[in-house]
Amino acid sequence: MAHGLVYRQLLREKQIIFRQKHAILQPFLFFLMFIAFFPLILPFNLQLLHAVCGGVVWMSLTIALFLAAERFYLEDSQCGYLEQWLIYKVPVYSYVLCKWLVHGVVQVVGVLFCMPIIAVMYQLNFLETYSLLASILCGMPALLAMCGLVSAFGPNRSILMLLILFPLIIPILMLGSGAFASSALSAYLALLLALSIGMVFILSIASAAILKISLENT
Amino acid sequence: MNILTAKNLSFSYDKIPVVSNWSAQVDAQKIYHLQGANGSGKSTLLRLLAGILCPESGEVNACLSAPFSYPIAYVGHRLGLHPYLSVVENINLDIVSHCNPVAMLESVNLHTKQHALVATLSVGQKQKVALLKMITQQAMLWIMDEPLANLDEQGEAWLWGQINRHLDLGGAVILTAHQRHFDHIGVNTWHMA
Repeated sequence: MAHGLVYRQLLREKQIIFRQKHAILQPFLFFLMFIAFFPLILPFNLQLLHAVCGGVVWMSLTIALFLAAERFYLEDSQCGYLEQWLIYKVPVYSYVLCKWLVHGVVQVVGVLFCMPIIAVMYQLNFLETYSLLASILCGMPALLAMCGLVSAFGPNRSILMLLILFPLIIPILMLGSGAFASSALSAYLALLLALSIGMVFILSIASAAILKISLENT
Repeated sequence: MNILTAKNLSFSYDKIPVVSNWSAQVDAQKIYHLQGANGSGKSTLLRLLAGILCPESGEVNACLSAPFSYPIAYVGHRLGLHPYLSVVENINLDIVSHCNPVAMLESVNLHTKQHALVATLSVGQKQKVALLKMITQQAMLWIMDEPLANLDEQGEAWLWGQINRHLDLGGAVILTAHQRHFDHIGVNTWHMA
């Protein structure tokens, strides 16, 4: 049953996300605009571009993910779909994980699409591009989990929760931007991966608990 | 046969008691009509029985026996249908698997709308899809909050037909309805104060 449930849930999320094209395009265009416009406002200095590249990409990715996650659970909560999970006593974290997985894959595809543009705009060589992409792939689940947790509080409280939880995002940003063109890339990637696994595990359970509590108050 | 037992259920919103010390038993092949004024706590009680809300005190125990697959199915004011999914997708990509839903769409004249997005359906059509989704889940106890509110005469007749079939199979039904002429024989009435 669990296998069938996960398959149906993944298919359902895929259908919903592709029917709401604005949900994909809005964060993607934001990410693209941010990384494309930033070098244009800086003096043309290759060293300066290299120095800011990691930070700019990670910062724009964080904001783009928060934009994408804003309405993560809103429709399922409003239409009563989430209530059904409680009736059938199916763990809500499996719903949360399926949602994150589909959204994560869509965002990664968007980032992959942007990588050649980033490489050209910031004059990156192959190794630098690889280190940036690898750090994004390793750290993105942690960012997505954090966005998912903030979104679980609902649109009215998400901004406040974002401010409260922002210190938890800083280590991801520091490790992510630090990994770029670092000589100790594998150490950074290992830390990012560990952080991602831990945060996805813990925050999916926390998000499910918050969703359950919010259902009881509506 | 006893399908569901609720013992001393209590629930409050912001310290205002909505359900106080409520107990009841649901037997197979019976319909239970929950009556009460607006705001008397009917929907809250149904949500407690369905397991959506956790009671502050008391407990709800539901049982399951053949030929049913699940103990409880619930249709409330929020129908559980995603507006960006089609009728068939809403049923086929649900949490639980359903028994032959597409064939049943014909019985409610919705077979031509099976690939239409739920957002494009009328309120009554959405209600029918949600009820059909509940029926094809093969649950033992159907809990319905105002199921007749948006249905036309044909829809009402279809629902009563399904309810009678469900009772014959050994299931039970709990519902709320503001319709005063409740002419079904053997309907048990629960009053909310």
